[in-house]
Amino acid sequence: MSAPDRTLPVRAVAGAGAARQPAAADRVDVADSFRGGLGMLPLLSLLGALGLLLVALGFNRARVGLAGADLLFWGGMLCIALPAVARVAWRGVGRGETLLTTVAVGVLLYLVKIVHSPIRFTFFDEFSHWSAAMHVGASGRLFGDNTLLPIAAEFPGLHIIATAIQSVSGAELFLVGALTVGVARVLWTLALFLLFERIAGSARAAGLATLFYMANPSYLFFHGQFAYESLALPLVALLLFALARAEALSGPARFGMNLAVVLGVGALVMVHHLSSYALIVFLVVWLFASWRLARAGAAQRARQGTLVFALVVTLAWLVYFAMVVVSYISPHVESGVAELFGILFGQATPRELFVSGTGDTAPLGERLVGFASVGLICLALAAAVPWALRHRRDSALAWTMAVCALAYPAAMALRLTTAGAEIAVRTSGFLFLAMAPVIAMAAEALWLERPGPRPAQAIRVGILTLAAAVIVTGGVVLGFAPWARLPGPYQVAADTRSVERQGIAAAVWMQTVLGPGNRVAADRTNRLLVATYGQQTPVTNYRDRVDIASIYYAETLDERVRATIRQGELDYLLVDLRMSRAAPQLGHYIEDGELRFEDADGRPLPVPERLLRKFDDDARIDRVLDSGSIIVYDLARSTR
Amino acid sequence: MNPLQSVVEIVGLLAGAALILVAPGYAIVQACFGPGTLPRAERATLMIGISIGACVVGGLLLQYLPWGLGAATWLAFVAAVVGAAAVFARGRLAAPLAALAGELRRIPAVQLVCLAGAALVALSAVSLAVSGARQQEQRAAFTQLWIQPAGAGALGAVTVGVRSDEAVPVRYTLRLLADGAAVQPDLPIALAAGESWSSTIPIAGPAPERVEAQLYRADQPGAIYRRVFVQR
Repeated sequence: MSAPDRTLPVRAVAGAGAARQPAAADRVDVADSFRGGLGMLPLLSLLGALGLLLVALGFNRARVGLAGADLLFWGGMLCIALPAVARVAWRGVGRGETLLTTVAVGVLLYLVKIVHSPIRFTFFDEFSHWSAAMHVGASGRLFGDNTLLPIAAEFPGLHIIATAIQSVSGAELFLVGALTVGVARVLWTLALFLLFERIAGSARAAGLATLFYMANPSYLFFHGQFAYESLALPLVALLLFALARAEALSGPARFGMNLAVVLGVGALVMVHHLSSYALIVFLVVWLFASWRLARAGAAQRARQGTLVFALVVTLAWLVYFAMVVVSYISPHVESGVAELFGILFGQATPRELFVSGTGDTAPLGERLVGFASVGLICLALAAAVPWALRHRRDSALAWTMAVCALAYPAAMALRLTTAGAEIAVRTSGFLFLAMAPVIAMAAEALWLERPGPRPAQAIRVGILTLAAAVIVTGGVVLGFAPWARLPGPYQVAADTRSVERQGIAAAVWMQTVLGPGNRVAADRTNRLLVATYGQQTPVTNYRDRVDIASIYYAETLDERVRATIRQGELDYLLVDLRMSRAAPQLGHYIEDGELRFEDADGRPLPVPERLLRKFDDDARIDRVLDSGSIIVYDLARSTR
Repeated sequence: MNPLQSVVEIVGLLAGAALILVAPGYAIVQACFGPGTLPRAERATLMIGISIGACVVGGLLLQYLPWGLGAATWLAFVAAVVGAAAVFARGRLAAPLAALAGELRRIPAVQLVCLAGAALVALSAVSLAVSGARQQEQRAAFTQLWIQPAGAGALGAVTVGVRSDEAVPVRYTLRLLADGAAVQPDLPIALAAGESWSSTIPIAGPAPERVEAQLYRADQPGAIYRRVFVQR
């Protein structure tokens, strides 16, 4: 007969074999009580808010190019994170205070993203989802044609929520999107804490795990943007918690928790492809762990049912709505893995880390912190995973987390490849979900809970907080390059730094004067603006298989260029003359894989201005808008 | 947007978010979980999670209804979910709020004041960022000049427009050339920041092959500031 799976809340006292006691998590009267007040939560919240103020001051200095912006930013970030880490790590802090402290930190870190871009969407992925949401809002129907990212329209969960709120409130979509992701952030933090508490049996370990999770490179900006992953990962955390929690319930309560699982799976499949696949993989590993550890029973049957349900719904969605996923994901995976093997066998050189598209290298301090952060995490895993596999055989979920955490070094290796770096960024959200409770449990058992006098406790917490400082800083460094991390003056082909008023004004002019729906060629950033602000149809190599970049980079408007214009059925061409003033931060102006301009040493150069001005000399091309840096050409007669 | 409009928009936004992200989940949680079965944190988590799940799935259902996804159908959907859950909740809908209010009264006043202070500081940070971002955008000054043929076929008339996004009022001079010859005397245009001007200008005589509009700034009369043209 299989032993019951102990994903019940028990508090692990130091060392294996020590007596385990039921914790307060399931006792409603204890868990819900504010008896004794909120502890240090108000002070920590005030400190964190002051940290946010420092960040906002730093960002404002960065916007005008003043010195000291970086210092304010890092000071603010550490002010938000470190006092909370120290408090949560301290012995004897109440469960309620620990939980609410993690929620406060989660909300404050989300507000860092808001103060980075407080008045409009500026992150690259946000425009695709904004475009999709606009279509749903305008038409009242899902699955429209998304000109920026076709796959986004096939996973409309986020757009459903955003347009539902917009339709009943009448508020602007930017505000709706910010609030939606903010609420998802609260859900995420709560679900993570409750899930980790289920695994660790300790509110302190749960708090540390949740705070550790927030140090993952994607958390601060990538998963704070208005994009489908920002809603998907909270749903994953909720589902894992609900599955673990349902085991301890019966009657209507169990029905309610199972209903949460069913709705959660259904929603997740409609929100994000990779997250639903990751959930399925995790469930398979969890089931295997349960079988291997002889932890079968009613809970195992519930997980099997959830896995089958998730598989059926995911496959059905893939077949009926989203076959485009295969062509979207597989090239990244194939080329990333191929490149990695090439590096391992000496047939390819690793990607240069910490180097931007313009050839600038990140400061030495940042590189050191980045490596130190990864090194610390790997060291922690080296201690934590064997500990968990040995001492937490009572919990298949804990064991599953430990096994999944082993994928972290492989994901880090993918960062050495150009194609795989993108995968590494996107998987960090899943990998940290597995690593966080494992490292936190081991940190509590092997470091914090070691018996000793109070001063020794202070030193241990201090060292842990120092390690947290490295990991938090390293996470931010690895997540976003210096030029993207802070706002600032305009930069060429630099995503958030390239979204500015002149481009927006040109896009708005196109909609107002030219009308919506024209087929337009434009560079990477202006393409986003003309699709959203301008309601135009940008034409790309990625979606339409039209080599737009060749139009810009050709020496003359020869027959090959005109054939490309005909192939794309282009109505207008937008030229941003700033492409001739600086090299692209991201490595390309139009699309990845385009022609690069380099000097004799291989350093990137701007596009020669004569190539961008060649359209002025053609008798069949009209120059219909001039705003200084942005020129719009009418191509209607160019191919006759 | 004036401050009152901003307040109305914020209140509407919060109400809309509560309707979609809270109401369905709250009602279902109250229906499924009796008093004392789940701690508050878990209820809150499920409340948001079930709301999102129900609305995403509900959106797919609305897709296949004739009326689609709109304000009326969403209100009907939420009302149906809350109504159905209320039947099973058996008068428990308001219970958690009363219990929470009772627990909040246990918290010392100084802590509540401190929390309020934290919220105020955070709000100030966001306001500072909004102000900084708006000022940054205002600093990026430019002027747009545009041209469109006023009808199909030959260039009998053109529509020309100027929009000033400069930081200060600017005086311009517009010159219109048909095949290199002036169509009319240079036109002075004075625009305040954010102001636009446009006009449809007939081209006298035989239809030219090219009509070009040149914009000069009064403070730099010798240099073409902006240039656009249409050709036939």
